[in-house]
Amino acid sequence: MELLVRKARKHDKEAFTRLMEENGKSMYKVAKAILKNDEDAADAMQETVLTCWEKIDTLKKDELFRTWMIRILINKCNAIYRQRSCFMSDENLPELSAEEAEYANVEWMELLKCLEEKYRTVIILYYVEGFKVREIAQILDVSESTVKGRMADARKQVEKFYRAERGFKII
Amino acid sequence: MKNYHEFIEKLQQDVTVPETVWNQFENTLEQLPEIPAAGRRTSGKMPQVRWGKMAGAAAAVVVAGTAVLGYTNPVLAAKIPIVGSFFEMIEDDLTFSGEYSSVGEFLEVDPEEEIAEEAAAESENENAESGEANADQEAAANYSASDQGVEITFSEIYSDGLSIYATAQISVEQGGLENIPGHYTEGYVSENAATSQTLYTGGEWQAEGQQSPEALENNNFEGKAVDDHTFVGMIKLDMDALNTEGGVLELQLNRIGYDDLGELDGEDISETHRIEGTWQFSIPYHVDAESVKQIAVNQKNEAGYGVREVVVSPYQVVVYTDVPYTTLTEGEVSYEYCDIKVFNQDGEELLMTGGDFEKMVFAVKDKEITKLNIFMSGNEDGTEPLFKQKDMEAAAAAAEFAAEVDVK
Repeated sequence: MELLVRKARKHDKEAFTRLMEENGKSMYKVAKAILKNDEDAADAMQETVLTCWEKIDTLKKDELFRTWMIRILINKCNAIYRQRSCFMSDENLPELSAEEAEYANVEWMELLKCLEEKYRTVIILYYVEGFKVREIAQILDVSESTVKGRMADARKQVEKFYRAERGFKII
Repeated sequence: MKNYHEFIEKLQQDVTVPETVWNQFENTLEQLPEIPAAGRRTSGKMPQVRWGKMAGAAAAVVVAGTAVLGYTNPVLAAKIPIVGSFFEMIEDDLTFSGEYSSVGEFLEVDPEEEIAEEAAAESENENAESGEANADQEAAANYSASDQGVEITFSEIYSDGLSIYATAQISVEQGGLENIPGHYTEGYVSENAATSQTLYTGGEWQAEGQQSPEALENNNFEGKAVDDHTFVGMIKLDMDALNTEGGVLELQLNRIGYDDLGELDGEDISETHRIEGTWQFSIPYHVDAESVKQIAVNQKNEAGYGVREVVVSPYQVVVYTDVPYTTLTEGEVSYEYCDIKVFNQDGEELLMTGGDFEKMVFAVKDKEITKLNIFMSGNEDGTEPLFKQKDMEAAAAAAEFAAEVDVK
């Protein structure tokens, strides 16, 4: 990936496109986890592509590309989330499209619903995208202990969710 | 669902991005706007400024800045130099880690010579102010400079002929150095992997054999913050080609910057810690020519991928490669895709740190090297591309070109 990053930093469109396509699925998972619906996730991904394209020559180290890109994506997601929150509550969010409804059946997304947003993001970044605590702290602009704390709290939330759902304690 | 681990396993299942989302994503990529040429870096060297007279004038400005700041800035005046080898402090955690401390030369200024230099510098400053600067005057050794609340003092230097490695103490009045995020330097991420911090630089440099000054690009100080105002780091400056002649390193920094854990915003990094000024240095160095081995390879496959030469030092391996290319316009070429991996005789992969399509640089990281196995591939679409392979056997199977090089 570093060669692609290096070419992309010189605004090589082909390399940049390939680089983003390789990371497209990761971007979607993170955006969906934060924003919950596909329309907003797609907008966040689009905004991220454009910002990365414009700013990639400011990237200091090739190996930091993924951290940098996910950081931008999360900022875009948060901006969209704040924007949407001004206009609607959860109760009047648009209904899921047929495609989304089908997607919502995917179990990982269902499972994430039991977590608050701040926990969802940490869990996705750590367990799904493979970022380390230190990197997540940088991406989310919080301390490493905060990240660890959120991961522990997320686990408690999941356990609580299952106790409530199934009536027994998880071991 | 029995436990939390099953929850995590479910999370880690593969997903398909919905078609509508992917289409919007692809459409965006297909319609990327053109970036103005002024903001683009093209292949080849960055635009250079003339080094001769401009450097002389800049030196006079630096001297003036040092003289004023040295007496009026109590924070910098109170800084106490750190005693001991900076190499020893940081060498284990660097990207190009290794034992520099046993071979690096301390930069020491003879006190009498220093007084004479200060007097000469003051005289030069007066001449510059009256428009009579003798800009072509050969610069004396200068290891320390101060401007804009930043004092930089070089401490040790070493060269293997491929690069110059120099340590310095950087004292920053505005502070915030303890908030510099760390980065992993082992090529992989784990809780126990070595980390370093980065202090960014801008400017240019010239050493023996360099035809013209080189812009600093990713030539940053890598090291650690000693306290909130003090950083100790090593800068690595790469020669165009192996040069075993020593000489004088002329280094002019015009920007110092660092990230702040509290200010990362993804758009641009830590604007408040970007300090522009002028810090100029002249540092003599010798080359440890016996430490470096230059080996001609001259092998190439039909597709045009190959290796011309390999140079091995205790700290880095430089592979000079052939990669097929198409000439677009005069001086501008488009290279084919290229992956490269290098392993030693024990199948240990060397960390690729950068380079271009003609020269790839790998960190040795204290590994023993008696033989190098080099693999290259232009296959970027296959199911098993070279870059994904984790061991030497798999890399060999995925490679289009392979070379075995004895390092004697």
